Amino acid sequence: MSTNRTQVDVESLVDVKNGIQAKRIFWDQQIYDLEIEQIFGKCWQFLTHDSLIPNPGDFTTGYMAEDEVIVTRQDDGSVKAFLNVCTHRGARLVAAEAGNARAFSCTYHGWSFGMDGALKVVPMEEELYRGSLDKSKFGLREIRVESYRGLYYGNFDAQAPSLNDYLGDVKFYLDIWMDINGGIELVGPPSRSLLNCNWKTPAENFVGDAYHVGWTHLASLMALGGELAAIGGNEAPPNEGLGMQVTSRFGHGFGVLWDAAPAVHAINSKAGTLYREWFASRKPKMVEKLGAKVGRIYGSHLNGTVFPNNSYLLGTNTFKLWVPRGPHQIEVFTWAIVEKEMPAELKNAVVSGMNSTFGSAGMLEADDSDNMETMTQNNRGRMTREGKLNSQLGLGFDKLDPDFPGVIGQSAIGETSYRGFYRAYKEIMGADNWKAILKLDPDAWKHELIGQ
Amino acid sequence: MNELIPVRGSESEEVVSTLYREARLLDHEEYREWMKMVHPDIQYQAYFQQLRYRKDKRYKLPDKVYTIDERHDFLDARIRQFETGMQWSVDPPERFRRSLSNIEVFKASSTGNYQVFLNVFVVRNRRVHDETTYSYGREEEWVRGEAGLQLLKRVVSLDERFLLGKNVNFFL
Repeated sequence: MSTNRTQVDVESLVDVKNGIQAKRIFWDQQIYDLEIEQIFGKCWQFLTHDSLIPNPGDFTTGYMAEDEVIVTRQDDGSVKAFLNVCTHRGARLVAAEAGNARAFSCTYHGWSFGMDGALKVVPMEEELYRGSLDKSKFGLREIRVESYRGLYYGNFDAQAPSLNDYLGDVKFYLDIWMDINGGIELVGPPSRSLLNCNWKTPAENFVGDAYHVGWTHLASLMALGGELAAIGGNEAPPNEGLGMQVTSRFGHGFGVLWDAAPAVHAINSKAGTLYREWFASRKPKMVEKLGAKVGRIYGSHLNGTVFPNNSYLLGTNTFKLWVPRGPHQIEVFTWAIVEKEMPAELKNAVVSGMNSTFGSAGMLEADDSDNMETMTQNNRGRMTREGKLNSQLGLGFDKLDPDFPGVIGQSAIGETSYRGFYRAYKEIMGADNWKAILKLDPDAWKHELIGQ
Repeated sequence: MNELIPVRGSESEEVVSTLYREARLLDHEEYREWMKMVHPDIQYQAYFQQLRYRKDKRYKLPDKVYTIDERHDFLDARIRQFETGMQWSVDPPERFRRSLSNIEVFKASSTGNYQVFLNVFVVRNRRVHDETTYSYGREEEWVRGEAGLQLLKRVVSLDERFLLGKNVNFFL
């Protein structure tokens, strides 16, 4: 399986104890090739959501890293995923991005596959193959699929832990937004854009960078007002250090900005007004149900990443997939994420607001793009590429908390979740297989991060 | 019935010269002057369209993603963002050239408003290497106000399925 593990010294890429990464991880082709094998070959990758394929025969197409995939709703309501590749001569099977089909027919010779992936029809089969073709052996390559709260993820590795176990500690928090409050749905179709950056750049930014918010987005925050305008210019954090950070065993993590869920929806806009009313009416119930400490997560702003490349902003209604296209480029997929129980008027308003801020024409999205690109492209320089990256913010102050699962950083402005992301990155990059990872002490990662 | 009547001669020229003036103001970052041409009830939209099979009528979900769906207040916020002087992403400044073509002007029989169809080609230069081009169609409605024609509605069809130019942080 492993083609180049011997060529990459994984140990040299990440120093967990000191919060250091090698800049080469954003540039080297060999490292990228190993990531495709080890990270994208082993980890769960986002595919679609129930709301986008509601009926039998509905499908969407997309990517798992550089592999093209089809995701379809079966007659029995279950969901299957396949490589979007004809098993005859390898042409792409489905060119549409979404639809409803009864079969997928290859454009090259007309081989036709059922929604369950089975090869059904081969044109002139009797005349040409004379009974020699065993159609049962040429079904589409199926991908393991599991769902969490209606979100479907695919995994190429049969040994991988279940999606639930993989999400682990962060599920506790995601549930507050995605289950306890009545659930979520994605609004499609996604917008798509191209950035000339490494896939880890936005993944690490979303997993834990609140430090850039007040600086990178200063002009946008000044123009929009709202709860985050207070940190514009990074002159001083507001009370309580803003929030917290959480990281987990397999690298998923997020930052919390307390009570800032509607922050980027301008105060005097329709979205802003309706959204603030929504939280005012819903949050007390969540606090009653979960207690003040945990319940505060709902109505706070969460920026997070499900390792490796699926990011979200809960509060800003943004759901992203960073699809790698080589070491220096990604395709960005952006869906709006809304609470199922929101009235249609609010849903529409926050979807527009999301697009205006973090969609492909988004004001804050545009703020980020230069940083994302230069963080990758500067590594073209040999001397630059030999350098190190620093994620030491808050190092030494991470802790465990009896009320909050995972390893906790005590301010939203910290790099706890960066460190957790790259700890997992190193572990998965260097592991023989999932069996080797899973046999380790399940708490060892915490000690590694906290430094005990 | 809202019939669309083709507009010719000086009336058409007035609309076309208004479009050119608008493009020039935007190219020169004269945003406050531009806003005077924007109606308070502006509906300003731009969409990408998902790839679907022609024959597929059974999949009922929307095929358009409105990457911009904004009103006067947000257009104003976008300008305020530039006016802060802190918008580092346009500093050094970006340079734009907007070319307008295939302009067709109609008048709606019911409202007297101008209904305009046109194509737009934009070349955007930023930083050292980034030259990105955008080609799109616009369908829009202009209404006569006290200070001349004002833009009431703009619907931009972005034909590419995914945006090569990394963002649309400018007015279309």
